[in-house]
Amino acid sequence: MSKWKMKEIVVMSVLSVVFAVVYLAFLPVGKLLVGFFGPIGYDVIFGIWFIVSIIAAYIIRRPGAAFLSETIAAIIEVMLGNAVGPMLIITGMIQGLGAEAVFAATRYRMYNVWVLMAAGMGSAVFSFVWGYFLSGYAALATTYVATMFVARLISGAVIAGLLGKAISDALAKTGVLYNFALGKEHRRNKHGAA
Amino acid sequence: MAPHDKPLIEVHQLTLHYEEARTPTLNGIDFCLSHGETAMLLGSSGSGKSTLTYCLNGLYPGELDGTLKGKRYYYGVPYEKFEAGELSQRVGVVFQDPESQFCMLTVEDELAFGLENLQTPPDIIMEKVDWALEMVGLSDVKEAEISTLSGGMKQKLALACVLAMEPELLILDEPTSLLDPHARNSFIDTVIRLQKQKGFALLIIEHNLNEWLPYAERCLMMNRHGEIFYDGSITQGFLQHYETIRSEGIWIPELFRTAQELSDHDLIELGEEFPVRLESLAGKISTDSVSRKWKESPPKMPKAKSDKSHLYLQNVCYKHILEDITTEIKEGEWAAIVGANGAGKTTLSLLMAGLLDATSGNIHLNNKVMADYRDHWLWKEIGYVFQNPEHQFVADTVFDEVSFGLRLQRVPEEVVTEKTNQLLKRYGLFAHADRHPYTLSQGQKRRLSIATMMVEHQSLLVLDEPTFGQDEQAAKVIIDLLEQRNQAGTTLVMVTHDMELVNQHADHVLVMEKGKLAFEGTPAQLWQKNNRWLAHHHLQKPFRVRLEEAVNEREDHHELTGTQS
Amino acid sequence: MNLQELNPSMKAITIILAVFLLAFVFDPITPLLFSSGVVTLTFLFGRVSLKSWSLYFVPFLIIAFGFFWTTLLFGDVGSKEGNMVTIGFVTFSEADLQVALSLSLRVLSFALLSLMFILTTNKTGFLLSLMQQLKLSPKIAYGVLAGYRFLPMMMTEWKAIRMAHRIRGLRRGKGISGRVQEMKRYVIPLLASAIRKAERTAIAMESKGFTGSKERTFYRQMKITLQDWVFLGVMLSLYGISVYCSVRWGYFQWYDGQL
Ligand SMILES: Nc1ncnc2c1ncn2[C@@H]1O[C@H](COP(=O)(O)OP(=O)(O)OP(=O)(O)O)[C@@H](O)[C@H]1O
Ligand SMILES: Nc1ncnc2c1ncn2[C@@H]1O[C@H](COP(=O)(O)OP(=O)(O)OP(=O)(O)O)[C@@H](O)[C@H]1O
Ligand SMILES: [Mg+2]
Ligand SMILES: [Mg+2]
Repeated sequence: MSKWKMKEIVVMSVLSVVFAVVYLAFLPVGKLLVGFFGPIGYDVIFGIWFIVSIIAAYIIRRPGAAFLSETIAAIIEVMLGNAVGPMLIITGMIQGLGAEAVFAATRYRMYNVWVLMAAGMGSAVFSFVWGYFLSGYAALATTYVATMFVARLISGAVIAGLLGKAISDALAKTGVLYNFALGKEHRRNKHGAA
Repeated sequence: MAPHDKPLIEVHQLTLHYEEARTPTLNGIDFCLSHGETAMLLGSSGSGKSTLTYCLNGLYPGELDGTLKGKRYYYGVPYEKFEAGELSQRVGVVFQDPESQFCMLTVEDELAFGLENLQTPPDIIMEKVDWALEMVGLSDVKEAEISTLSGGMKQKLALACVLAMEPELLILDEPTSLLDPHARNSFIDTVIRLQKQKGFALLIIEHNLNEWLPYAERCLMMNRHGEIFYDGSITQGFLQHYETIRSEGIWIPELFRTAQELSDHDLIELGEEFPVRLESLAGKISTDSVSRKWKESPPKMPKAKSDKSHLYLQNVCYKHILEDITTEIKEGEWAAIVGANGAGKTTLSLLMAGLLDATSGNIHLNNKVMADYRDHWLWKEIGYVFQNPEHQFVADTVFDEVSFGLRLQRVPEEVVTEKTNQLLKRYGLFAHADRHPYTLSQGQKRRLSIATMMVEHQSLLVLDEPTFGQDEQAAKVIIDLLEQRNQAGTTLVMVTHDMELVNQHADHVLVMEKGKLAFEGTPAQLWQKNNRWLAHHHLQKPFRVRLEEAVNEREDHHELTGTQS
Repeated sequence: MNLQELNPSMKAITIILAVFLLAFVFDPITPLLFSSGVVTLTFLFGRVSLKSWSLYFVPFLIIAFGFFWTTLLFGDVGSKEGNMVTIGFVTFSEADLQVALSLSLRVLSFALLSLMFILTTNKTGFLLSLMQQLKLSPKIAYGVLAGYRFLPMMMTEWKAIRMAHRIRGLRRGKGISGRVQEMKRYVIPLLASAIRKAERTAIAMESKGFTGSKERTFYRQMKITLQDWVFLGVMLSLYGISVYCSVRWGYFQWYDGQL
């Protein structure tokens, strides 16, 4: 933590604030899908709720970015008023830990597409296990649970991993990430290509 | 530490190179600042003034991505010897952007934040918070949320936060750019009064230093290479380096400019230095010499006047913000909207551009009710330049940004390329065609946002503070472009706090007061109003009008005393 | 007792604990009794205005109702035995009804608990107490506060960007790729300007002497007092009473994974 620059922390929390709002906005969408397709409806879009870990980690590239950003997003959701209340903070921490574990496994050195997708899947695994106990998927048929799990994995990889990367890269292109790890990488690539 | 035998700040051969920048931003800077001294730091936009600020309060090199060379001393002690955060207390900074220098939700908490960092005990924090709020006149909003304050109040709050920490040096980075003329004067009064009380040193960065002149003796001037090319008395410096300053794009105070022009016409003797007060310039000239000189200067080019109504507002109200506004803007007119901070100028301009819908009342464009226009037709009729240019960028490169409108019209690609390049050249943006609009400097962004509005041939252009935060050169480019469009028949409506701009260019002025239209007429008619009325509306007469009045007054006074004796 | 004056961290912990405890139970009576207690407490000791409470509560009510009917229709309990109930066109078993009621009341009770927290807690106070009682790092706590300030700012920016696009002649995107393009044009400028501002804010914070060190004084001291323990006690007793009644009336059921 002491190595972090203040601007990295504030930028991370601003990202968390933005995505906390996005998270809240997607809750009714999830509810609607659940209404149509049953519990699996949530899993299809579940990746959206991990996206800030991927974006923050990919931009800032420091140990803890994935975990902290997801936790902060959860704290903000609680401050804004969320159905789950303070409990959500714990859920956020667990999701963040999932992505963090993947980045830690690369010793915070690799940030390519595959790692980002794997991080999204990491969050999916952790959150699924947590949800399994909390919401009691135990009551559902095993094949159904397995399908839910796969859906959530794919969603984590695609929505959190790929979309998260796309958003961050688009941001880097604007030049505002000039002083952050991702911005520096973009500049290097540009110079390398030129 | 025995403080006062060493200068407060001493900087030696300071050179700063941002990573990836081709040239250093600061280049061998040398200067001293003594205890309790006041100095202005001048330089064109992007010359490195804010960067120097960060070096002086110890933020750099900690937060810097790049290299910093040279020596910095605080009362003779090298900067490196201080603990993290210690210098931040002793050197207080009010930053450029009032939106983004707070981190707490309420006024009170924000003030306490700095003091907590210094580990001040809570009961003393309480006292200091009250004191600082009292000083800047914000006691009434102690418990308010910061997001509900107006721009001017935020700038005052930023000052209070720094004052509460009792700095030995106070740096103000363009602290008044968003303020109306009246608020600007009272801000300056507050700062100067406090300096007398507390004895801190002051370093002021400002583009437009008209109002600071009587209070600042010394100035440092930076050029585009990040070097200080002058350090000394303001009045002498401007005289000696007049041409350099002009080519650097630094704003020349109206007082100096006028004195220089008068002296060029041999109407006054300048001597060694420029006068710093209007009265002393007025003392040197006579009424007929002034009017002679200004009659000589070419009058504004006559425009083809039209009596056709372009925009007609009839009893327009908008929520609780605007009340019963009726006015008419003629085709080809250049109209200005002025008034105090928060009077409703921006809101009115948005209504005029059809971007907000009136709560009640009608707006007619070309004698047709605005609501009857289809949304996608309106943008061919009206252009709008937002106060924040970043908002209106929609493409990834400067080139695409300008050609965007043409492509929407399905113009053939060769024509698009040709037209766009031509425009970019004209606006000095051709070299940056491939860059992302966000990476341009503030002045370039502003020009780009205006350029994007120029590719269409809208007959009405509405601009919100088109020259704010620009250096003189950038502002001039913008104004010239607008003047050209206006000559070609485009109707212009601009919101501004700049009375000189109003005086020199507008045909029609609207004064807003608390959501109502308080006055409407030509600039000359507006300046006829008495000073009480103008002060009440937070306006100020332009420099030349004030000068003429001062000259007349002096002569009247002379005549009076003459008859008495 | 005044809910507004409770220590926010203790209040949060108490409420999380209550959620946990409720999560173990799956019957309609326990959450119903517990929620009535919570609502009573909120209004008696929370000085919460009915208007703002309803503003938050109505969406939750709708969600709970959604849970209710979806469970009734799609629930996989699926028992077609026992007493059948008919409402309008649909018929279902009493057992299904009980599951649906339990689930929606459970959701509602979670919501009421968090409303009790949200409407009686000052946001700054919450973070201050996370720092003072739960030893959250000041760097993060103040970073979050700074970020939170951006919300109203971004609302204004969003509106400005929308207007700017209108004036540039952009029309609503058609089809999926058009929609994606449109989102991109909104989201990227919004995030970009937020990042810029965040950078400047961070610099301003440091220039006010903020180093992130834990050695700092606090203008607002957050303390844990007797009140906080009383509140914990009250909530636990409320739970106890609710469970007891439910058992007495024969509804009580542990949660074993019904959906
Ligand atoms: N963090 C940074 N990283 C890289 N370059 C920077 C950074 N900050 C500023 N610059 C560049 O350094 C130059 C000086 O910037 P600075 O903000 O000091 O100018 P300024 O004199 O304060 O201008 P203005 O009057 O417009 O505020 C500019 O060209 C700017 O683009
Ligand atoms: N969206 C809004 N909701 C509520 N009040 C608003 C809104 N926008 C502006 N106001 C209020 O309306 C008044 C007029 O605002 P406006 O931005 O038009 O002022 P202005 O004259 O442009 O001021 P300035 O010179 O500071 O830019 C202000 O008091 C402002 O607080
Ligand atoms: Mg600057
Ligand atoms: Mg305005």
